[in-house]
Amino acid sequence: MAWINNVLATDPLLSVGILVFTLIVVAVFGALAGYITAYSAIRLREACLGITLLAFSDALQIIV
Amino acid sequence: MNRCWRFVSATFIILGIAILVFLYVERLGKSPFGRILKAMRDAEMAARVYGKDMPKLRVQALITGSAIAAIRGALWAFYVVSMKAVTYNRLVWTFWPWVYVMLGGTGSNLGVLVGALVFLTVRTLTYSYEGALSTIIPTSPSWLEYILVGLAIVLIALFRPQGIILEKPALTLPREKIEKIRKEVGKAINK
Repeated sequence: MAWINNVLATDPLLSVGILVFTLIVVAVFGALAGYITAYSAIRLREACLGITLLAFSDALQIIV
Repeated sequence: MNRCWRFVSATFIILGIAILVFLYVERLGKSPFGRILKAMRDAEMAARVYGKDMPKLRVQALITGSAIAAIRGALWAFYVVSMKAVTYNRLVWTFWPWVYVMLGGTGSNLGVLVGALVFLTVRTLTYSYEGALSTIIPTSPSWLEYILVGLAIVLIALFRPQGIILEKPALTLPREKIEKIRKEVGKAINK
């Protein structure tokens, strides 16, 4: 761990790049999760849609 | 020394990214996509008459929202330097944001910001004045934040369902630009 911190401390461009790259990857994965959720639940209406999304989040929490 | 500055710098980086996301959402609200989402909310039948595919629009809205939410979760992991799915519980990550939106005002981005600021300030105050509060109220002050969420939702729904900041009609273009376009169109017609 220490040498990773040293490398990142001496190279600010690399560390900022890693942060931005991580955020982009996270946004893509979040969009993917949104698409999968939407694919299964999009025909439902207001309250039912909310319940399904809440249940989806809880199921995902237990899986991960 | 590194330890002291770590959280301060992380806070400012997260604040910067939050400003970027806010600007993006503001722009999104003024774009054709944002306008058709508003039309879908206000009069779904009218939007369908104009030939907009409702399920597709909802999928797009959900994708945008979950991408932004994912960025938020990643930044939280960046801030606390640990990540466990169990810590992302339903109170803090579902119902608190709901209260922010209801408190600040649905349908305005600034309102969500104000709602989050007000709610988290009150919550932090109850948290930090726990000792003083325990002499006044009969229960333990650590339950106060749970009570606060339900109380806030009920009070907002009763007395001010539209929230602190009202939704304004979005101005898509500045007035000067619209005047300029009108003049150009007028010239083209007169030719």
